[in-house]
Amino acid sequence: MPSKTTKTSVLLKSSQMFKLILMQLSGLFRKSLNVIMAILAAAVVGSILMLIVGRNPFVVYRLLFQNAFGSERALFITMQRATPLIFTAISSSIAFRTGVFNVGVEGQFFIGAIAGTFVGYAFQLPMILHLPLSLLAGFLGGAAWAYIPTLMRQKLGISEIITTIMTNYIATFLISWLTNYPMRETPLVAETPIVQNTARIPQFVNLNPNLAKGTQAHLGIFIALAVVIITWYIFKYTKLGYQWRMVGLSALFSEFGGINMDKTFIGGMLVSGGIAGLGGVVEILGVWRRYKDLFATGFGFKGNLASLLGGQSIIGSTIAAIFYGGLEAGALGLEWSTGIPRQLIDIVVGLIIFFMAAQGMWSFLNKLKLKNGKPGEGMMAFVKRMFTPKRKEETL
Amino acid sequence: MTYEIEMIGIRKEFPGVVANDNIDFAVRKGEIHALVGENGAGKSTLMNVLFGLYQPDAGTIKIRGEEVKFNNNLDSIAKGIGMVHQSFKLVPSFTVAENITLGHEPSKLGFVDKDAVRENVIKISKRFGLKVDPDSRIRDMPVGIQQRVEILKALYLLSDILILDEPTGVLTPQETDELFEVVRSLVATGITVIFITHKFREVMAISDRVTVLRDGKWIGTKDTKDTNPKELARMMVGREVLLRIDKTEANPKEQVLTVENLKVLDNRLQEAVRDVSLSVKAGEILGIAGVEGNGQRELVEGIIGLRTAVAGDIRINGKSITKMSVRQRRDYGISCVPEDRYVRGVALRASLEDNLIIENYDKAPISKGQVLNLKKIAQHASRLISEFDIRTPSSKVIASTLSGGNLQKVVLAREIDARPKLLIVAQPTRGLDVGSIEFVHRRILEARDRGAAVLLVSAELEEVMSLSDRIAVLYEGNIVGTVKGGEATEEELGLMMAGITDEGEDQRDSHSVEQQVSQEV
Amino acid sequence: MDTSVLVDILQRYVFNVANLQGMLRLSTPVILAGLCALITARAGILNIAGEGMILFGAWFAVAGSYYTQNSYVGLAVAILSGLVVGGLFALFSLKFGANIIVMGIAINIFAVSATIFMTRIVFGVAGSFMHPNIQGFSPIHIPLIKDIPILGGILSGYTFPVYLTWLLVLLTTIFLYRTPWGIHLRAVGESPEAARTQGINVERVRFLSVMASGVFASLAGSYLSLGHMVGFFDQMSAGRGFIGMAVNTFGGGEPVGVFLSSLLFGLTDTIGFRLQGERIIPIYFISMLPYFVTLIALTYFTIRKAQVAKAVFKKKAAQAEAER
Repeated sequence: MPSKTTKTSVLLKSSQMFKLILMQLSGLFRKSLNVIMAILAAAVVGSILMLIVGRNPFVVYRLLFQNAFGSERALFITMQRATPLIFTAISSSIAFRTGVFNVGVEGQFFIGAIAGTFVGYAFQLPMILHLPLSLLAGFLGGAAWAYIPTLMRQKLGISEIITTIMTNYIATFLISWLTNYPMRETPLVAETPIVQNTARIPQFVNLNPNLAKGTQAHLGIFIALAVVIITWYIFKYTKLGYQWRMVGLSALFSEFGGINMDKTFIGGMLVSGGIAGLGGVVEILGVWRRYKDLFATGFGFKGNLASLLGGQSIIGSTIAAIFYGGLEAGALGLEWSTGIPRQLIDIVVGLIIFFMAAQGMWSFLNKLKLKNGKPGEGMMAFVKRMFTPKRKEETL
Repeated sequence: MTYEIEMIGIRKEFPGVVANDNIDFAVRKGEIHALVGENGAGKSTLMNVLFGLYQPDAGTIKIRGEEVKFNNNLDSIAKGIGMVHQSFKLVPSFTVAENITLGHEPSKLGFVDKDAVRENVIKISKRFGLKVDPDSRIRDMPVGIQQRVEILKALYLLSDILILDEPTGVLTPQETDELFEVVRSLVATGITVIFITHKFREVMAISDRVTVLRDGKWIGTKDTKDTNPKELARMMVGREVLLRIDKTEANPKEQVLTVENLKVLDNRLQEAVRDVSLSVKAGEILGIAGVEGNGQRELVEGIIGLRTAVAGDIRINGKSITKMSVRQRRDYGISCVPEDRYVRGVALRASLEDNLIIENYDKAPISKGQVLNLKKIAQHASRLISEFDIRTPSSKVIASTLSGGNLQKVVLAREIDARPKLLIVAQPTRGLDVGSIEFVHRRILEARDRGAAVLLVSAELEEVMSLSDRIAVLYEGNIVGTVKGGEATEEELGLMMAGITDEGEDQRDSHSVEQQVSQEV
Repeated sequence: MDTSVLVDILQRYVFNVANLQGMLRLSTPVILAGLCALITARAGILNIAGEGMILFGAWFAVAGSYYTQNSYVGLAVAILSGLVVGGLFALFSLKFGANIIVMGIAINIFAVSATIFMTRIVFGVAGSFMHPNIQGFSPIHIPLIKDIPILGGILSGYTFPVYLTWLLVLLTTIFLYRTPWGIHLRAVGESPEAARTQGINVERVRFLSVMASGVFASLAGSYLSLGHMVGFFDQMSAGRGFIGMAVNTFGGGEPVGVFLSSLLFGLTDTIGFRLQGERIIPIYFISMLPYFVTLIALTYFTIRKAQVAKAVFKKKAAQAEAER
């Protein structure tokens, strides 16, 4: 008899579990549905753009896909492009999740890169010390740079949005000065000396010449994935992660519950900046091996976007970063073979974000269709309604 | 006969609730018509329909016999309907005149005619005998005058039907009397007034007729002179109302909370709590009565540590906690059910599990070292869900999917389960249905009987009177008197809430109150 | 350092006709960016898309001028683009429920890529686009004023957008305080519920204010690409959209305040150019100045505000004490 009761209870439990899993899955599906819809909508608008420019969108998309995921080499290039974006996307997500708009990931990335570069070329150490030390310098550099806006918001309540943007510009010019004056190696080019062998992150080609031929994909991807796993663990399984999540979900509730707001906010922002900086140094030690002035821009902003694309979750933004990296790799190949500017991809990603951010758009258009009976009238009614008084029900 | 307003078969649905269900409502010209019902009975929804802010899903509205359809409040304003909302809708930095004429400014060649603005306002204020200074700014004015500006705003738009939505909630008894005078004089000029309230005293004092709503349905309309508070109460609640809950005698033990000469500032850096001293013993409930906005919020936030005390001392079991953080105070045995349930009480976008562990997430068995025990968290949540009868499909759903009553249970569960030495409950039943109110009251009494010191802050005088073992009255940031729970009468407390005490008006010397407190205990 | 050296430095870097004229000229895009931030902030909207909208304005001004060889047509095209971009921004964030900050970030990044893309597709060049067909604005010398000895040099000889900007500062003030629309805008920003119950269409006011901010931003952009320089350069907005937000904060949300605090930025820019010419400080530090000044100024003004509030509180407390 007892065995029977336990059996039913187990059955009951498992059916409940099943229900729960279904609920979670359907939630996940609904969330991803929004992303997929946005990607499709952006692809359509992108096609129109290509038609205007006089290209066949099907050919372009096929080339794009081939160059992103179509071959082993493409995959390695995608990996290389995605590595820094994973760092900046995670960095953005941590900030977003703790309720901060860290628009300064860009600056923190490059400050981290230059700090790590300096440690990488200026010291002579065994690799076992040198590489970690360089990485640490990158992390600390990014965190330190994030500390400026953090301090201004925490002590004075100044919105981090303006200050992080300002520190981005300051970072750019500061680094230009560093690479042009104190750190410059030769009078010809504004770049630092090359980092020591002991501070380099090996590329796949170094390990096996046949693997990843002609690409610069490097083992830094494993550092990126380690960061993903660690942050995911922190958010899900630790007290710190709980505090971060709660502060991000409701600052007033967290304050009431006794979470130290200042500490949480500063901690989240510093870790966010640190991971951005770590991304910067990994990019240098793995790909460039020295800091060339203005070697690239936009890693931070792209990370912001990838994080938004991935719903600000750790796993989601990692997937989005890889997706973005793939698009970039594809666009690069596309530019080589067809001459279509690679910025096309940034435009498409921008469009995806627009469509995604506008979650209300679908229901908005849908409602119009229903009200007017015929689908065709939806848009007209929509244009008409734009300038007629809106109903107040939702807001009052 | 033709009614001034006739609403027939009004239905209004919101996602998940039927706010108005086939309501008929008719108002005669020149009468004061009281509209009563509990929170959530559908009074405000019905009036927002009449004011054109909501469109009904079914039903018709007739104004002076003519059927009308309001697409927005401009339409209803054009028909002479004006509404004074419960929370004032005024622009703080604008002057009185600018506020009154907002949206309907007299203009010349596309520019606002400032002289005409002033003159119009002076004219209208003279006509109705409502004195205001057209040039002073709203942010510098007391609440009573602000309400006058609101009424003038409606009159300026040539309203002859005036809806007053719970106009007395923010007023002292004296200000309320003044308002009644104003309303009577307006009616004398031929204006029709709909007076929304849930206080029987007001219904009896001012209305000609009264309509009762309950759960979104029309229950009845009566001539005021033919009814009485008891009948109204029965109509409102649907059964005989127990004005007092059964409770056992308190069994007070050692003194838990001591507050001495506390001074706390509000957001505008004004002294909201001026000089408060009070004490609560284990096993008793001290109720704080008072008109809202007299420092209750700041007092509570000062004790739990969300606001720093500018002066004074707070002690728990003799140890000063004045300098402690919120977390330290919580660890020291303070729990609190906050008045803004949706803002402070829960994180609406977080799961129930996460909401239920904010108090103990850093203690075993919920966490060990840095690591959370997800299994224990789930167990903790399901235990509280069953103990407190929280209606939810799962502990993983986010809080915003729960109803108000269930959310309050979540807050109560978390705060009471911490087994606090001091439990603060602020406006614990605001907006809840009768069933939930009883549940909440029972849980508060249980906490008391288990030995917690309870500090109850409520704007509902009945609630304070029925639950408290002692009652202290807060007026303008001071405690103006303390009485025993069973002995206080409504009149006595009402006078104190207006700042009038036996020893003369506006008693500020709280040391004598402190003595009073200690004598009584 | 004695005072004569100080006077000398002040004369050299600040108080001479060339510098003051440079200051007024260089503050023009900042004023416009400030007005762009102001008009939305006063309607209760945090609009960080100014930067992107400026960039679009600059690009379309160049395109318009290139195809018609008329700078004023360029200006008109830019204004049109401002209306469209502002309208789309408003549509997505106010009608479709997108988070306005997310939308702002997206527009800013989108603008950078889109303008680079368009430059390459439409003009077939990368990085920067300069061409003799692009007509910039030419200076206008105001008849009587230009002959006034020193003042003439400071007040006359600017291009059309500069004068237009001064006029706009005045017009915006009048708009905000003397017209029903302006009063409605302020009411919407401060207390949307009050505005709504008085029959003001809050959504429409906000929508229009975002479109207006697009116009201000596009004016700033066209000044950059047809007045300040002639041609389009990648990311030539260089953070002015954000400086505009800062300027609006210092200016207390008043157009005149925006004008005055923008002069401060114009001044740092001018001094920057002078110092750069004299090779005292590396160019990078000079380029950094506006952003640095923004941070310092934000800090300073916030501390000041807190001090004032504290002082007022102390005064009130003292009064209350005296009454007792």
